Amino acid sequence: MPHQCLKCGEIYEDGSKYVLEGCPKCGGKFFLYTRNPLPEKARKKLLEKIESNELFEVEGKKLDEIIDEIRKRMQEAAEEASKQKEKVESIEVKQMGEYEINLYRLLEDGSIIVQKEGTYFIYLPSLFSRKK
Amino acid sequence: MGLLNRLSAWLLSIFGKKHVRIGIYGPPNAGKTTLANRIAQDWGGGTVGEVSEVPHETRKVQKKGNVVIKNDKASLVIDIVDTPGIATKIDFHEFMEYGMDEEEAKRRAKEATEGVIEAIKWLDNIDGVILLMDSTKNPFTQVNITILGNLEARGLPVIIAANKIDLDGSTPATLKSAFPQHEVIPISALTGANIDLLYEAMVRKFGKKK
Repeated sequence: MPHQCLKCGEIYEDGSKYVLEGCPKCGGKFFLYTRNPLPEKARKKLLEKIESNELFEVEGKKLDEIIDEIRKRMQEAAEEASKQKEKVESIEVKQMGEYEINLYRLLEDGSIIVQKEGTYFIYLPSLFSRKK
Repeated sequence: MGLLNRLSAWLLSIFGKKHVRIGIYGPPNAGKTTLANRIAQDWGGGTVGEVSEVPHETRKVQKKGNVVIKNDKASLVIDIVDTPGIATKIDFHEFMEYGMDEEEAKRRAKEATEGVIEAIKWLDNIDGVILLMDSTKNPFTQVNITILGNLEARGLPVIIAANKIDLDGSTPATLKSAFPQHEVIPISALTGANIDLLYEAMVRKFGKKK
């Protein structure tokens, strides 16, 4: 499949060096790997989304304040992550195509237990073969 | 390349075997395939996989086996294992924003979920991990913290590579402060900036294993 430059819309064939070097026409760095080229409006929307990355920003200006902020954020993220330990399922199906993955379960014991609307499906081989 | 020769000799003397398997792990769109391609090109020629801006482009583990590093005395074979992005939520709506129809987006979401499971299973066959993070993004995520915690528990040697330092808004220093117990190497897999530092770190870190 070809790559399309998101900035100017130019199409480059598969494996083109321009994907690594940037678009020779406009200098764009972002390419969409697709069978169906996007119209300008859709490209613009996508570029905006890619460029508006959620950045890490801290309010404090002093080094101590920045370090404190980083510690706090780490703590919060670790607490959020440890909530996964309470769940038995490794994958929750919210609807077809929408999945929530419990990384802790998968990494810890490799168990594949799927939960959908309160019903649990247990893939037994994943439990028998698990390593401790 | 002098560095590669030294790397080869080092790994041989430490691992005592001629086959070292290094997995590249990380969240979607961190640049794992770009890094895998860069390593393959630097060390052996060729590429590992297709790179894309669409998240979860790599949905199966891709292996570039038998990348041979040679010097006068010995040769070393490295497998580079490029893995699907590890995420906690996969939603087909996200793929529809990239112009896919609903059916295709749902299929991709399913494959991406299978990809996460496959990537994690592969950890059992890996000798060392390069955990790739996007240095322009918030590093305090469940994905980063859960993977790191597990790698520590497994005792697998890990290097954090803070990728995309070529982009505006890149803050590799934040990653260094967030994970002080780990070696963090700021790199650009795309431009190759600092990539030699990563290779040196691989020698040091993966060399300690046995």
